[in-house]
Amino acid sequence: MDNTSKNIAIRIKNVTCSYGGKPAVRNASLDVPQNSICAFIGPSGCGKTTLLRSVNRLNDLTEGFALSGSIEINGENIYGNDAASHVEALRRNIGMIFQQPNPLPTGILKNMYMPIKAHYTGEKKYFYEKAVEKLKTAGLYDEIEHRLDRTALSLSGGQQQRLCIARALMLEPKIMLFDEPCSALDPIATYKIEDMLLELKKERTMIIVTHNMEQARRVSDYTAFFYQGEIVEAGRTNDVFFNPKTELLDQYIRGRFS
Amino acid sequence: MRLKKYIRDIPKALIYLLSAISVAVIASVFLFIFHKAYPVLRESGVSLFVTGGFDRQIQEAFYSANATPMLEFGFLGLISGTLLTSGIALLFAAIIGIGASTAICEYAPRRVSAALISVVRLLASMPSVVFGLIGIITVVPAVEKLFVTTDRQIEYLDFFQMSGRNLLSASVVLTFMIVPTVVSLSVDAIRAVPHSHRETGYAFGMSKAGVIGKIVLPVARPGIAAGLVLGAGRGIGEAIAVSMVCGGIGFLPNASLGFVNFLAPTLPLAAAIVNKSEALGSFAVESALFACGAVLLIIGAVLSLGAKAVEKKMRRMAGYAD
Repeated sequence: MDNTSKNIAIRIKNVTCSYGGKPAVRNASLDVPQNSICAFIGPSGCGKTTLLRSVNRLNDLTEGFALSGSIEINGENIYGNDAASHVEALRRNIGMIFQQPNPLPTGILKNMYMPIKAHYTGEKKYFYEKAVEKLKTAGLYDEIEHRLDRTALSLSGGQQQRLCIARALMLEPKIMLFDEPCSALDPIATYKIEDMLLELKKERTMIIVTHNMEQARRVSDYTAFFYQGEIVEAGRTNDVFFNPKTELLDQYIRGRFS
Repeated sequence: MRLKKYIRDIPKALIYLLSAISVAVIASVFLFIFHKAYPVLRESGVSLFVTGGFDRQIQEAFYSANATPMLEFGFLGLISGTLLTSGIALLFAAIIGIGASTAICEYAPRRVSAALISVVRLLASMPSVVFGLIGIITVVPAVEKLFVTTDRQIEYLDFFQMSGRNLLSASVVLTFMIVPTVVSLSVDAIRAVPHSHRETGYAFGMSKAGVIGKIVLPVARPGIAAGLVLGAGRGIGEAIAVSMVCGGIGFLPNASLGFVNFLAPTLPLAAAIVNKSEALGSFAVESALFACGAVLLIIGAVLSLGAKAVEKKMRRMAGYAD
């Protein structure tokens, strides 16, 4: 990957993670340059999600989780000595989208206000305008313009996921993490979200965990291939997909195992 | 063929029959109560709900001849006693219960919370007479010591005889009884909030308190409300424990007395039935006590319909029912 370190948004260095002593990720190192999308691919249970959730320290909530090594975001080690006290500020600046769309069982607008109201006080009008702007970014506004106070649960799965992305954008994150964001969605909804990812990339750095090879190839600039807790191969997506260096990756791309 | 069809239909018929029986039982209870209460309901009319004086009336009724029964009653003191004791207890129980269930679910270590929950469930099934005993042994003396002074007793002698058995004691004892119900339903509701909702909050950089206050409790709100409604039901219908600590006189609160209203004796409808049941031999008393039961049923029905309406509104606001 690019070695000019000033353009590196996320630098993962020798990270080893374990749950209650059981290793999940072993000695992973990876650089994600600014304003690019990096895809994590690999078979189930190979540590992709664990590493992803380490980037915003969400694994801290899991009992028995331990991590060694360092993850630098814009040059700052988020696992440094006093970093634990800044974890809420860290998470605030990193948007995360989960596998299952997870809007709260409340109104659409209330969902949009939830993250921003947790951290800022402001005029309702400002919040509303911002929510509309983000819903437009997510391509959702035109579809639900007339029912913004209806429950978020009345939306389809794809709309819910786009709502979640729009909601995450309310805090203007420069880094976004996607944990298999389309695995619960149909192809059209998937296509819409991929479109949005390419749009968001212009000013954001993103990591996406995916089981969908096509998706990784379509949206990502860089790809990291995980196998049994290790990053076996990483590089520009084109190189990884068309010139795999390892037999393992070659077989995985050909669909020999999953 | 035809025989087979009959055999197949037997379970269905049995279920219909059993449902019909249970409906019939409930309906006949209602009919019986209203039939017995009818003389008093007819003679008193609307004034049953808007006038007081039960304590004097019940004595007159006891001494009245069965040929010329005294059937004019005013239950306002009893109704206000019912609503006040239940309302105050519900307020206390909501504050304590929601706080306690949050602590149990979110803050206590797993072992402690498991132990606390089994204690709470045990408390919820404790016979009410035990709560009444605890009330007599601890609550009444405590209230007496804290609030009832000789000066006060003399000052308010014109209104009532002040003792430790009063509205405050009754409400506190009722709170003890409602809290376990509120806690056990709230705990279930809080536990049912999916982990993914909490994770959403944490991923937005919310603190633990923020996640609880802004996500967990709002999502659990319908379940917590159900606990409060059940608690209110228990509060309104509770007879024995309350009758042991309420003072036995249906004093109508008087705005000019302010806080001292809490130190006045009270007599909720259910407690009145217990309290005056010794005098049941008289036809008029019997009808009056059944009228108490009828009014209780009416209050219960109104509150449960009200709770349904509130729940519907809340769910709509929360975005469920559309």
